[in-house]
Amino acid sequence: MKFDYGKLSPRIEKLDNGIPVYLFPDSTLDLVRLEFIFDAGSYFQQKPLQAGACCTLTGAGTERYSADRLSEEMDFYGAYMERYSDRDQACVTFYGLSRYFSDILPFCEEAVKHSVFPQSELDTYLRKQHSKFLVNLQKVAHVARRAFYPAVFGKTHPYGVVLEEEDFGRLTRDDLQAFYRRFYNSENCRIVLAGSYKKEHLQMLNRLFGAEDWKGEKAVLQATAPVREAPAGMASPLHVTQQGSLQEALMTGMRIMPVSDPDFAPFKVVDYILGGYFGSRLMRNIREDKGYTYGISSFVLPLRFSPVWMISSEVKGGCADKVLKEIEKEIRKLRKKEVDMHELELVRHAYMGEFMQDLDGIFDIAERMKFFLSAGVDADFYRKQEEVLFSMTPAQIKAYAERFLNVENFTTVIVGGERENV
Amino acid sequence: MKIDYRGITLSNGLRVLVHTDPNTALVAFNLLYKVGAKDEDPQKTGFAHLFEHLMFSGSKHVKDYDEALDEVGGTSNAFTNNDFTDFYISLPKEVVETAFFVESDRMQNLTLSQKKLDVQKGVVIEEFKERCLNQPYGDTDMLLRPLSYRTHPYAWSTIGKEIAHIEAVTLQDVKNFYNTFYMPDNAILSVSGPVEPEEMFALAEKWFGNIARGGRTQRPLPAEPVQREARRQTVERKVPSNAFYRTYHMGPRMSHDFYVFDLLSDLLSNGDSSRFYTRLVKDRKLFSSLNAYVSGDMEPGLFLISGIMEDGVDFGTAEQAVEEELARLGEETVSEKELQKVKNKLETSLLFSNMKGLDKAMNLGYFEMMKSADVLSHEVEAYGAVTVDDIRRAARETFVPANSNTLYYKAIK
Repeated sequence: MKFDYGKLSPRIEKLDNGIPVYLFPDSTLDLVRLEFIFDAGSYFQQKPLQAGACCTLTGAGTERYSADRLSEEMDFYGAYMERYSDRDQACVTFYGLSRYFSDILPFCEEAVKHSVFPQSELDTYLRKQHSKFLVNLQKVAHVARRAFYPAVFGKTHPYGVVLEEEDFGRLTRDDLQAFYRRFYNSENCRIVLAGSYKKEHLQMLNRLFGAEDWKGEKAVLQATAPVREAPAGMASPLHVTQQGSLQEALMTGMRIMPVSDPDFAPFKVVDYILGGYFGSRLMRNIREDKGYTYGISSFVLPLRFSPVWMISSEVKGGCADKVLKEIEKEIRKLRKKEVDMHELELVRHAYMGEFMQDLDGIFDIAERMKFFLSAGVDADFYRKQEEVLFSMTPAQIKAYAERFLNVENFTTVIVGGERENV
Repeated sequence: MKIDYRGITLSNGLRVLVHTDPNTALVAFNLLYKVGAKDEDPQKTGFAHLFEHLMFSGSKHVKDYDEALDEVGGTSNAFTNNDFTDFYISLPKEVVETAFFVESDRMQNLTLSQKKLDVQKGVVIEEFKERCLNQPYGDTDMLLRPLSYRTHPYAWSTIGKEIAHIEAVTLQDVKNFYNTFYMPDNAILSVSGPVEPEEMFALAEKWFGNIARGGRTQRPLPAEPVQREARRQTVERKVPSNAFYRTYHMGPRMSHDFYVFDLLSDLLSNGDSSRFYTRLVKDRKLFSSLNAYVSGDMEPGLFLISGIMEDGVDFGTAEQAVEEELARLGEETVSEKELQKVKNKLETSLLFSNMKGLDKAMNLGYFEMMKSADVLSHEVEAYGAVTVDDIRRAARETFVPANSNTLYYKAIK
């Protein structure tokens, strides 16, 4: 089972103004995917909602077209425009039929470079988001995330701030324009192009995006020191009451080393064994043996300035404490007892199989650029991960588990129905 | 869009389809069983899905199903809906035979035990809560189905009518179900990847060829009588906003009308330039979201509309606005340009949904179950053949009060 890591290394061209374009050609498709990535996630915002609204409203009203007109044109060519922003980045992605690529490119330019954020579009956005916000507050898993991040980073840290209902009344058009001017510019932009395109499309891309007419400043990439606010340790979880809930959501975890740190790959091996795949120890114990949950997993959220590792699950009402005990037991086992070679071989192959499945197709591969750019790594990151996974010994894994998985450092949140003796 | 394949039928009735795709290192292996929630006893619903979980319990020669695949770098999963149950595996080409081995073993030698049944009941009950009962608006499918169907087994959700049905399942029920439905002549195997058809046919013969035919007797499903008068229901739930739901009966997946209604739903709500979004969400501010879609069921299915309402909008106003849009589709002919727009969008999404090996293998099996895997390669043309007159006729005939089911989902504190 060999993965060709070369596939993850794009050919890189530069537009005249210096914007790098990462190319992932595949002429067997009739489709094209064009992505603009900006360092413009919520980490950089001055107030809640600013980054998300700016990203979502990109193209919803531009200098030349109303929102309806622009979407009418894009829709006519069968194109899809996706706006996505997270804590670190904002991405505007266009998908469409290759035969219409030249037709949609000018509209991509309008959306990315000339958005004007009409008040009416902002109002619609706020109405929709407010409705979603209220629905989300009824979901235990969502409420658990709302409690977890401020507890891990601090309420005022850019990764710890949570959206409150009042924030919907505070966001103005000026906020969006200011954010757009500051972050959606050629210095702060990277382009990823994948699928079936022609040379003339690259020339057109350069003509539309490669000039000096949308210059600006790069985002300042500076970490903010976190302040943990919740009591640490799995023994004293933070409880949030969600009246009448049939299930309890639990989340426990901690901040970890940067993705580019040499310790990251061995940490991922430990994480994978514990809860990183369907046959993991947590799944086998808590789902397949006890039937407490539909699913439980551990994973890393690779935030640029401070990745977080966590275990998350929705479990049968009243069982969260029992599940926490089982989690602790599984962690203790990893720290005290070497994994046997049979399991280690299993994990190695399961990891490779899943990895290959995740990257089967040029669009999946192109999508990894976003992570590479944010984490400051390249295809070597995955090559090393494989190397570490296949060379680590059971004794080394145990030593890493002992070093990294200290439940005293975990922040733990439980959200569920009222408890009798709390 | 053309997905070439070759197919054979083994002497025991197992259908085998192979699509050669040289542009990947992985093989997608899909095994579809023609059994879904519609085949359940109305008093024992949720069974087909629970059984899907039990298929991962291990079999005579494969003690641990997941482990057997993990060992060779395979990934697998499954899903159940009202029409069928689908099991799929993705694995490197060099070890493709493992997929044949594990699937043939669990087709004939599944290990069933009370302990495994009890654990999976627990897992499924938690899934029931996580997806439906403990989610805002999560029970709408459970409400709309019995409102829309009085006779046909589409009247219940795949997850089941209630938790009690899942709790009541016995080991004997499970064995009977297995012996009735998990048989080679009730299954379709489809493979996509860097493989030759002959090679896959030989492996299919080797691993599945000696399994005895099940001879399932086809039980005709009770047909849903034509609905003659509008039905309404109001429920109260602790949710933040009122929601409006409407269904209409429409044709089966393999009818020409399916393509007409699918395009109709796109005219209404696919994309930011769609009618519902521009008029009822943005301009009139009646809804914060409003969607139309088709159920895509094998037997006559539903055209569905669901909307989350804005504060201060009453149900009557919301309903009337939706009905006005539906009426317009029956009264005024849509422009060729607007129809072409939704056809183009559909072409893009069809190409997207047939990019990966697993998608292709799954879709080949799905169309073969309904009619023929050939249909998949003609989907773009089938949508292309829909005319503006088809749209108008379908809207006029279908969007009538006597054919409608309305659910008011009322928010209470």
